[in-house]
Amino acid sequence: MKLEQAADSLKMDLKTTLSRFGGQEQLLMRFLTRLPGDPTFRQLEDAMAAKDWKMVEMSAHTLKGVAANLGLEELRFACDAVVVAVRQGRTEQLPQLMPAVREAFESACRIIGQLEG
Amino acid sequence: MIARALEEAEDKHQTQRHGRNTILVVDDMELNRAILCEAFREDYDLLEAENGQQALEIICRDPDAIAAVLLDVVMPVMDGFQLLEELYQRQLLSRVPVFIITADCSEKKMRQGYDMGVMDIISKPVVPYFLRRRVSSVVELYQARERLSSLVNRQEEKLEIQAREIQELNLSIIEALSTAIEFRDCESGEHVQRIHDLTVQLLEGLREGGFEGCAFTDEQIEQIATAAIMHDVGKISIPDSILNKPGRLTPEEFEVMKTHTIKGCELLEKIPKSKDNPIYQYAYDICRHHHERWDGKGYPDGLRGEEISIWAQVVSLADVYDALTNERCYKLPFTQQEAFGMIMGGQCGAFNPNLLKAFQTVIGEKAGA
Repeated sequence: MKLEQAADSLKMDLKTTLSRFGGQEQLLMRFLTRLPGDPTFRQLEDAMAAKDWKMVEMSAHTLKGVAANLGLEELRFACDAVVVAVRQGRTEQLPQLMPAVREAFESACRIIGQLEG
Repeated sequence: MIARALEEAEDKHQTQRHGRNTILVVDDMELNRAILCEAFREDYDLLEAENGQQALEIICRDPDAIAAVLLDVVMPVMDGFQLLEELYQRQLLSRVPVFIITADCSEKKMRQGYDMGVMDIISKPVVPYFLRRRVSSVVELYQARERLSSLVNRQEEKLEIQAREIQELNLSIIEALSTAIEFRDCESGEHVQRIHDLTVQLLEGLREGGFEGCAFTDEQIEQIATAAIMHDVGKISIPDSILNKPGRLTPEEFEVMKTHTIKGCELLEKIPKSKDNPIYQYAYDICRHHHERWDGKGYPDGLRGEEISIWAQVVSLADVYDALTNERCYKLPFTQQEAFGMIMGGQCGAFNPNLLKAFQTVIGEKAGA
């Protein structure tokens, strides 16, 4: 899959996202293909299981920033909902918010996996 | 000499201008660092840190090399606000502009950041064009401020060098004038130098003795000593026949000779803009009163005791001692010991007892008396 096609599938604003990487497709591709191996999502899940809310907030916050920079808007907003819920003390809602994060992350990884370097 | 000093100042300025050209990117995520670096790669040198602790070490190593710090907030080890606190305590926030780059722009956090002295708070994800504009305008402001203060410093250095030059020129003109006059009086130019040095020694002796009214500063001592060399400028108006007469002067001739004190003052008064200059103020007083005596038997005004300024008294004593210990067209020199004895014994007129104490310390010990 070419980058343009992948960007469509990822609902990514390619022009804006590329401008963050100085217009260099290679650089954007390099960081996109690193996402599946990035430990932040697993840290978030582990923190959820351990009910370590501070760590949930931190890792969701970090993942949100990564998603925003990569133009992955669905993942970004899903993570933001988790961050806000923790900060507002609504941790009981987290089990309902996490599936959206998982789904956005896994869907992004699937599409990225099909990218042609 | 001046040229070299100016070159050195210029070199220092150049180093400073080229030195502050590094942007420090602080973020725990490599992706975020890469994006921020990409925005500035063309115009700046870049340094990266993964947390506040690493950033603090880099900044402290050379604060003046850092043009700006781009700082994430949420980081392990030391977060963005902890780093700000450290920089604030080290008074580095006024020297190094810090930009917070955060996805969390709550009003409370922004207020906290600005209150601690951050330059700006920019939200993630960044738009590189806006980021560059916002950061560069502050960096340029800092650079301009630094250039201006370095320019002011260089100009101050230059002014100081010029002021010193003028002062030296002033001194050499005074010396040349005074020496020319002493030549007419069969004197060598050394008399001028000896009066200068003796005046310094006596004033220092008075200061060390802790006498009232004698707490001179080094600058005052130098000014008085410079003024002292002009004590006899009035002799330019005395006819050669009197000035260089080998034998004793008649009472009429002595009356003419005495006018060199007042004539000296008249001469000094004609020097433009001299009124406010402390050297000329001392010189005027010394010219007029260096033949007054402690018991009121001197001239031209017959002042007595402390009516005579201490500097006029000092030059008076220095002049007598120098006249005694050196050859004149009417006499051979006395030894230092003889001269010391004559002055202390009152053969050369009365002097202030405190001044004689200082004279004893400064000259007496040297003369072996």
